[in-house]
Amino acid sequence: MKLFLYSLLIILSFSFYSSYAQENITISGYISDGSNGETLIGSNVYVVELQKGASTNEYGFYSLSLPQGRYTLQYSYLGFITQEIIVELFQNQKKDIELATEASELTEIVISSEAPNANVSTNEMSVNKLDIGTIQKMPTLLGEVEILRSIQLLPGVSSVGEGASGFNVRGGSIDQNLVLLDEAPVYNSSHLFGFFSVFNPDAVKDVKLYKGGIPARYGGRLSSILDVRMKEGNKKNLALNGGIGAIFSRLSVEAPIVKDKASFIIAGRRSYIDVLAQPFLNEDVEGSVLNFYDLTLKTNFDIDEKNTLFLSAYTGRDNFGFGDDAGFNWGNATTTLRWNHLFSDKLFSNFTVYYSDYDYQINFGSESTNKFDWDASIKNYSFEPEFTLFLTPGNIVRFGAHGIIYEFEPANAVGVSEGEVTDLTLPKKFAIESSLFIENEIDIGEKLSLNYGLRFSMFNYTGEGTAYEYAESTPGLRRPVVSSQEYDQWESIKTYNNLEPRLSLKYQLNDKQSFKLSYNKMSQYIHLISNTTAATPVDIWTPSTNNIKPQIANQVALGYFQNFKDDIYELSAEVYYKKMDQLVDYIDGADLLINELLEGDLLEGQGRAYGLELMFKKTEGKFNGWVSYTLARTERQVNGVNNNEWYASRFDQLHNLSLTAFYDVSKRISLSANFALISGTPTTFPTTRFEQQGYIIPDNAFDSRNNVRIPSYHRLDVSATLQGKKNEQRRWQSEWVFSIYNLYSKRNPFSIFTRLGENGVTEAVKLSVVGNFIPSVSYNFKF
Amino acid sequence: MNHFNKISRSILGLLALGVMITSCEDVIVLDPIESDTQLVIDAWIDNRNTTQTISLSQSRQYFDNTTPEPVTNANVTLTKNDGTIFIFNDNNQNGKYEWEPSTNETLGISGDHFSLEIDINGDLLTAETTMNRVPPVDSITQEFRDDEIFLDDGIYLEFFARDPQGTGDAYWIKAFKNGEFLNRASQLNIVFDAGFDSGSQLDGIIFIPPIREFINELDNDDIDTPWNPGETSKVEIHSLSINAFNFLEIARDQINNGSNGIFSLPLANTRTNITNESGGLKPLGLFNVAAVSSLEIQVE
Repeated sequence: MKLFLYSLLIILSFSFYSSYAQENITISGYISDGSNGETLIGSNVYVVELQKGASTNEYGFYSLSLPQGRYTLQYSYLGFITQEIIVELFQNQKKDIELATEASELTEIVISSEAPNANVSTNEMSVNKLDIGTIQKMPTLLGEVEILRSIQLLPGVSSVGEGASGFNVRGGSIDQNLVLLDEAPVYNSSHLFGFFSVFNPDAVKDVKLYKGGIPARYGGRLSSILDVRMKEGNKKNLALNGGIGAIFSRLSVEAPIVKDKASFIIAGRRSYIDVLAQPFLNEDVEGSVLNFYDLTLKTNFDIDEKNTLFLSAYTGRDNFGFGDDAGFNWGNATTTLRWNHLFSDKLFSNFTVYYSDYDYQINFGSESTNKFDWDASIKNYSFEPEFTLFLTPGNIVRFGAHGIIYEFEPANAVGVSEGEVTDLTLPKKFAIESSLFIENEIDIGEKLSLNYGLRFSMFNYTGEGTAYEYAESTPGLRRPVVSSQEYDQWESIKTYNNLEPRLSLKYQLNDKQSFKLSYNKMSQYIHLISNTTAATPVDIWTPSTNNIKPQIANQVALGYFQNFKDDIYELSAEVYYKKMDQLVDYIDGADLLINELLEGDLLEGQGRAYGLELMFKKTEGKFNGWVSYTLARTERQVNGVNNNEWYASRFDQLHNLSLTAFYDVSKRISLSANFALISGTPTTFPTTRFEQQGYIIPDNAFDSRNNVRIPSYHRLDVSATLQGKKNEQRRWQSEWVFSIYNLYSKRNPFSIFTRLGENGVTEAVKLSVVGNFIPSVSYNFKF
Repeated sequence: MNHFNKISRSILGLLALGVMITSCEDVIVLDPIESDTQLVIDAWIDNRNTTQTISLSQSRQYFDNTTPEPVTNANVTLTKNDGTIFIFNDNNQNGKYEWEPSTNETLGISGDHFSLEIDINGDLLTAETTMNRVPPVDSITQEFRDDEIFLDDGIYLEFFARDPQGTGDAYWIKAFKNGEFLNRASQLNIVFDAGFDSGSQLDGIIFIPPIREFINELDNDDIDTPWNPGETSKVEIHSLSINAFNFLEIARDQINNGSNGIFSLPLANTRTNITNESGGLKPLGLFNVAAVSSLEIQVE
């Protein structure tokens, strides 16, 4: 803590020293889309005379402090017409700007970024920003626009296979990604296991993925931050968006409440597999439910020039029901309330309060005397003040704090048989995570710019609860309890704290070329307990305890960035090395669910991931897209697994190549395709079979983990979008999207496993989740 | 996925079934991974007045579906803590070493401690275990159930037994229908202190419901099948050491792992409690001496 305060002082004095050389005047305001009033994140303000600029923050706000004088300011954002204004700066002033969309009806933007040469010029690296317009144009499974599947086409991002929930970033497991929806964490980002994500594309404004060089304002997970920002809602007009697809139907409504002051968006989706399947169900399963839905709501209110309020809410659920007798459902709910307040033209602040909840419920039996009910959840409540001080162009200080209260309910399970009640409920667990951060983004001279910062995080595992002490045992075997101790509500059981330095640095060779370097230390205090190939919805989250240490990662990355031909082509090349410690692993035969003594079944391991990521992008023109290639290794070492030796993790993929291409045939027709070629992931095969009491049991004589590789994976998807005839008189616009997933019907293996077949024959089986090509048609409309 | 294995497995299996309309499984041929043959010791014996058998054989490469090679000419000796020695003989030279009790003779009572010694051409293998206590099977009840989801109407059985006070008791429930052992892998029913495992923290209560109902025969889809009047049901409870319980828990999960689809567990090895004192390859298999209780009824 002392060290943190000390560093804070250094950062502050450093940044103030460089800014207080002269008296400056501030011009500030918001930049938004003139057509609907949505603020534009990361749009650019450029001071022609000084050849310096600034970009808007997550709320569309910018602030520039300049010496007195007359300046030409250029406001720009890709896909919008640049606006130039001349200002006489003698006193502080407000300037809100609305940008108009480019007249061209061809939306040719692929990946929007702060400036045409942002790839080279920002000090961010290992960061990908996907524009929702791009995501909407990609070919998809069953025609559903998919945020989480889209980011898997970026370098460094992968998944264990089709249908698996979550994603893996640079060798990290799925729980090492902090998925934020308007700042609230989403604990299970998938519908229907991993086929669809919980984000309704109609309500999403901006998606940003940090794989490395993670700024100090983010923390709590080792591998990545996926920051999803929702639309605020049209401030000008009523707008309607909708679509009818094979899986979901979607509808969103947005409208001003008070024109240019307050607006809302409400967006919903629901699947209808169950409705379609109903006629085919036999009477046993009649009344079965199989659906998933989500509902997203956001509203905002500009109180005055200095204050804005935002309220966002999300709820979504997957429901499976089998008659009256059995049901299974899971879902997330989040609520975020934010207040933007301007203390001055230079000091922007945001105060966030959020609530997030993930829970599942399983029940069997409809009679009160014979039933089994089981549910579990993770809930958290958080408060997050954050301040941004815009000192001079090229000198920004951000600082703030983050407090989270966690409530874990690992199992609430009660069985009733013939009226006899068996209660298997496990006690709740509680924890408080708090952190402080400060970061400074600063340009030093013409060529060098850096963002350096520090995060201090503290985790307190508290009562009420029982803390167990376990005996040591041979690594890999269940550890027995030796003693236990009771704690009262909020009484501290164990605390951990970590200082997490962060740095990203850019050295610009010239307009078109730069080198970047980043380092980050991350700590993670909550863990998803899962040892199956793909995570299941019933996996539970658990806090760090007196027995489970926080996971720690240190990552360094080095990159080279170059743009060609007026920034039409972008090249990025990065190498990274990530070391992870105190990872959670499991003994053989671990009991992960409804286990009060779970900690005795956990192991502690370490991991390392390293690789090369290349991306080449064409950002403009009728034909555009990108190629992404990753050469990577990700390994684990756990005492008690694989003879204590390093082994390739389940999501290790040596090569991962993907091509994404868009082609605009005419004003009305556009085509897109993507192709993926991925090395096979490793899995473990038995070498031996033996019999005990008539049962045939597999065994791996070498006690090795991940000793074989499944074959490589490749797949091509295509889609065509046909837009309805444009009629200036009508606001109604529509399009048809035709897509084919897995065009050449490749039966790609999800896994190869061995099993005891009928008649006691041991055999190997290839499991393909998608065994065929899947065509689909969807219809989208806008009003 | 051990807990409520039946419940959670079946629900995930059903979800996978219902949802992955497009998925498919192909049996493929793979090159085996070569490894040395290991000695397999199948030493699950009990305190009943019946022939007790310890089988010795050779392990096989995983995809080899031929009958295991028996290991003959070994000396198999069991010693009780009171000094009694039981010699197991391979009378038929088929790797089945047997001890034949005389009238009313048994290996012992719960609490007795046993050591096993196997001498194969000078290689010495040893193991130790204690016969744990077993509660009686109090009753087997029958009930007519109406058509439910995943259940045809008909007669279904349930057995009752109460775990004794004190933690650390483990059992293997063996169910028989008309004298035939219900040996389907998914029916392997093991109990820890009346519940599924030590983490349930149950003790001294009647075995919890899903365990009680595992005595109905499962069909190929692992769904309970009804009984007919006149059929006989027998339930045996065999006490287990903790080692034996852990062994069967891993064995059960691994045998059934093939139906878990995308949610499969990593391969895990069972852990033997038998040591090769001569320092050669470790053997496979387990040594457990069970106390057994049982009850048989006729379905009405």
